[in-house]
Amino acid sequence: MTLKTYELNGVTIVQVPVTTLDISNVDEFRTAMSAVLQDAQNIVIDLDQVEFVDSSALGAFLSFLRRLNAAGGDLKLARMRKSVRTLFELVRMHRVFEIVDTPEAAVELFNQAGSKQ
Amino acid sequence: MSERPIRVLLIEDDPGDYDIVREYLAAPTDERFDLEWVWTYESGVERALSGEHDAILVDYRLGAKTGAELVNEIKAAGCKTPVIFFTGAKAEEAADRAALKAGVYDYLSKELVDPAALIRSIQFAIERRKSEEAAQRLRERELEIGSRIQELLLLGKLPDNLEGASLAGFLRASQQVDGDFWGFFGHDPHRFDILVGDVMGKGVPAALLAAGAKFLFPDCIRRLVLTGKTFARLPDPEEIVAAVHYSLLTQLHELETFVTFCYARFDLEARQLVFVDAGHMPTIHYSAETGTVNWLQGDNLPIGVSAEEVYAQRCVPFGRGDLFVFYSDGITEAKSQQNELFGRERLAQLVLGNVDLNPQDMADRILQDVQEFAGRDGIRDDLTCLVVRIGKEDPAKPLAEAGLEVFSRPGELDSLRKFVDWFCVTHSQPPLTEHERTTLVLAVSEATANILNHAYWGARNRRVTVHAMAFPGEVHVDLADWGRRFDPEQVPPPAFDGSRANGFGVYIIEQCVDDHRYYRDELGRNHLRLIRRSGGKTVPAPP
Repeated sequence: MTLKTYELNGVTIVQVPVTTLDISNVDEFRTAMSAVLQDAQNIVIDLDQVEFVDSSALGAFLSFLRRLNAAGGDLKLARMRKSVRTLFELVRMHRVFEIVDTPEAAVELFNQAGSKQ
Repeated sequence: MSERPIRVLLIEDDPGDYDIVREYLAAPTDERFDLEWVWTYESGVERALSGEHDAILVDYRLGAKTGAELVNEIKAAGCKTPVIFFTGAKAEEAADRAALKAGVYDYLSKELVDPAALIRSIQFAIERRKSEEAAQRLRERELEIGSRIQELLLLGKLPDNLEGASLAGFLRASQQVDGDFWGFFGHDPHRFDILVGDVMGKGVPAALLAAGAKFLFPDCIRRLVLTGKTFARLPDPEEIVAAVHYSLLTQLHELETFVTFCYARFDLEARQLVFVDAGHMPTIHYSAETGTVNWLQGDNLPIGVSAEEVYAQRCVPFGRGDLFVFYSDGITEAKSQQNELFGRERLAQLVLGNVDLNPQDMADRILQDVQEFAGRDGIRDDLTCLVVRIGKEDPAKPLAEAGLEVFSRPGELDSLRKFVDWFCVTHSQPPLTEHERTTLVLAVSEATANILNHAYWGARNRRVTVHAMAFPGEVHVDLADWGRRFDPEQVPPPAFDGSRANGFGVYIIEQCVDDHRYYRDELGRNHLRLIRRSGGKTVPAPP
């Protein structure tokens, strides 16, 4: 899996190129993300393409979040489709992750928080 | 050389003969003997029945009575001690014959016998008795095993989750293993076949033939279907019976036996019974609508009787609440102490008087009645009975159904999700909302991932079957696998604070569907049935 990444105001945006994230490709996803996680502290994952996410992918997201938090950074999720949001709400992960409409809005939130510090 | 002395009872009215025997048994030898002497018939009987002796010597003449009478009396009372006739009379043919009839072990002439001969005779009698007892125990053990095999193999389990009908029955083997057998063959949710039969003959040979005959039926069904003989249609009972008849003909002829049976197909959709009666007992049909009992009978011969017999089926319609009772002649021919037969009429009356009982209770009641009627000695044959009740409701039939079989590869999950989504869009009535579809698809995906990871522990070449059914107002998705059984109780609850990533799968399934059920089918496959209702559960909205 090749992830497209770009930077915006010090925040790394990751675009997920596949339509589903499930047990068939979650290991690939983790491997691809590990490179990004090494370099960046604040990350936004753009889920525009993603139509389906299952619990194993959810577990991957959680592990990214924990890793970033431990290093003093954070993870936000953007452009989540309705069907994916159903899963997050079902397991109440919408309280654990910050879910925003666009990557730009996420970057904005990161900068606000940064300036508050 | 035995550890203890051989205990001999001498029943002899002549003291002189007693002295001789005493001397003989005291002669030097490897054995030691304890000799007890009684001199009257009555005390002879009493002492013999004590069971305290290894052998009994009886004088052929005992005053007014004979040794043969004594032997008959003690044998009738259950005495098992070997008896040797000991007599002064010369070659008396009548006595010889009487001795043989009385089941005596040896017949010694007082004049001709010497100590060695007497001792030898006693020893041989004891040894013979021991080997007879061992043979008897072996026979009993074999019968016990045979009877267990008969119970397990020939009977098999009756289904307990049949929709639209319920069945129960019993097969009580007679004193020995026998030729009765029954079978249940389910084809689809609406059709199943019943077989109740009897191989002429007794004992293990009959039971073996019964086992072979019984399994020939599903085998003939298989051959008829898979070799294209019926163009994938389920063969009719008369076709199956004809095939079985042809297959068994030569063997039955050679074994000089035959098989009677009734083979009956219940079609819950068409609401009719189609049966072939091959010389069997007429089946009882209780009609709930008329409240009366009919006898169902065909007129075919048992198989094995005539090579040219053409087997023809009969059709009988039935309604909700009807009862069918199949049975073997062991029941109708059970005899009471007054030599009265149980008979068909009594059985029919029993059914009529208990029409509200469920099949298990009805079967229990029939068995109880027959056993009470016949007492201990009145039942000579296997008792077989099968009760079928047609349910009050028709089994639910889906408005639409579709199935998919995939290999246990993660890449297949996508086609599975698309299949379920397509099915819901196309067939759900009323149509499931997008949200309802999403949650069902998610549940199916999670459940299948569980099968791949846990039931099949990651193996990629196993199969998963998905069966989707649309009923009014709900969609069912049934996932089946051959893997390890999944116990949802073993899964720890998930953590919602993000501290732990696992345990969500089971929780998601529970939250996404209105109902779910894990079960095992009659072939041992694991199933998870997921049910999503229109207007059913909704995922709690975010705060």
